[in-house]
Amino acid sequence: MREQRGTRMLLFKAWRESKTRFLLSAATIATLCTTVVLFNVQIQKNPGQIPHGFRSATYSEHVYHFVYSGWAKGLFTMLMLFIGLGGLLRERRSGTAPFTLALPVTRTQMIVTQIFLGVLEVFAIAALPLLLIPTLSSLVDQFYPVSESFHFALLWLGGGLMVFGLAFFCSVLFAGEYTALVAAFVGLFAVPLVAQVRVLEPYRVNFLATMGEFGTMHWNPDHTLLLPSPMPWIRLLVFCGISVGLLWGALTVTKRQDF
Amino acid sequence: MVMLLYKAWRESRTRFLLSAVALAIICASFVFFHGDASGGIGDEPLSYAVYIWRITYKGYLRELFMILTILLGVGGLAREREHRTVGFTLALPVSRWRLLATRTLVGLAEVVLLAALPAIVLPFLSPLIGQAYPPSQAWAFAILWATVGSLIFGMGLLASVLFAGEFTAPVAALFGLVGYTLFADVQPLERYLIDIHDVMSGIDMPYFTEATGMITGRLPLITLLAVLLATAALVGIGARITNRQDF
Repeated sequence: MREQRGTRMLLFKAWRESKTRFLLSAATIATLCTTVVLFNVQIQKNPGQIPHGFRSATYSEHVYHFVYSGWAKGLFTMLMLFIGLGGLLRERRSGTAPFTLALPVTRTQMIVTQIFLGVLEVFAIAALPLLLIPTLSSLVDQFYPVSESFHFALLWLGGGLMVFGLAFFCSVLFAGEYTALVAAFVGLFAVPLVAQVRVLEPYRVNFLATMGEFGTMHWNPDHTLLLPSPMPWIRLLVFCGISVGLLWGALTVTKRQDF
Repeated sequence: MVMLLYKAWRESRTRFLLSAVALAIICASFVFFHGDASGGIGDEPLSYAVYIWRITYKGYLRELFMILTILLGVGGLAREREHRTVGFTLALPVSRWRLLATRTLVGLAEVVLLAALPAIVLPFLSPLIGQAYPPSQAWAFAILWATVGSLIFGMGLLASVLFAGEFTAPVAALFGLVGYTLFADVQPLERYLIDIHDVMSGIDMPYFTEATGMITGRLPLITLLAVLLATAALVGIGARITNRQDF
């Protein structure tokens, strides 16, 4: 009973620390999705205002270009970095680490709670387009399949967890203000660059391409829906494995750190 | 003054050095993996100059540079308040304006150095793989990057004056940058706002020839001057707000 209460308080602490970042991130993704759906006609009617690759013949293609492979995906990935920044090193900088460490809980409990809440937040933000796009589409007399939104929600969750893991790991390693953020950004940007090396091309190392199903989308027979290929389960498993590895690394480092 | 510069350097050096090392390594990789990477960025065979332009000056590296400059701009007195060191800093016998000015000076110097890195690395390493990239081209792009980078740095600096939260300032500056980019593409505003991404990479600019990947005309001095003025305005606004803030 006492332990349960302690966990609840730790969860509340982790929530208080991350709620602004989470709510801002969720609001951003929600606003972008809502705008893309509700103003789809206006956006597509002004071809001069949208980038070349984003001009679409169908509603399905429009949503794909703007949300699942475009701006929303890019923003989602970057926002996951902010969600992932946590750990005890931050508290050392602000001088609150001794208070936190004095709580009658282990460091493992503290870190696991932060990770648990972070994963929930990643899950919630990745699920936002799934909730919003099929629902709002009906308001503008359009149709977007729930199955397709679910497909991308899973891919975003996989990719988002990996970025979350990277940011969390960096925030455990680097103590300087914003250093973890810089390191995580560099790590994130290095992936698509490294993926361009021909030797690595067959392995599709660029997880951002997997999240957006680059090069694997195809049309239905009526040419009305742009559909993704079957879910790349093995790739998703690899994403989860990498995320677990990074978070495990963060936990191990924190347990050995001297505050 | 020297001590203030040293303080600003100490506060930002890890971020700067990490950014510099990352940019240098990425640029070096572009050169050494030229054969591999050029196949990945275009279906048709690319000349070395076009390859370097596409992968460095038009591609991901440009975006990375922009985000890194935002992160060099954040910090300052609002953050020191959070760490409870602001009392010591404000007790120094210098004005708040001077504190901000030294932070700006160090930050701008770091932005210029980051912008210059591709210009140093690319022409220097290219001969090692039997290629050549004209230093004049690399330095012309460095001037464009440094100038626009200073504006983005200014956005980060102003955001750090306005928002005290550790991650609120970079997020706000990032949204400011994204918002500006979107507005600069909207038709009625397109004529009046400078698309800083295009200025940096030369896309659709009269001074740049996309077919050869080369800067062939004079650099847009008036545009660059306007960008520098906008930077000065952002820093000025930041200074005014800092002077009136209550810590």
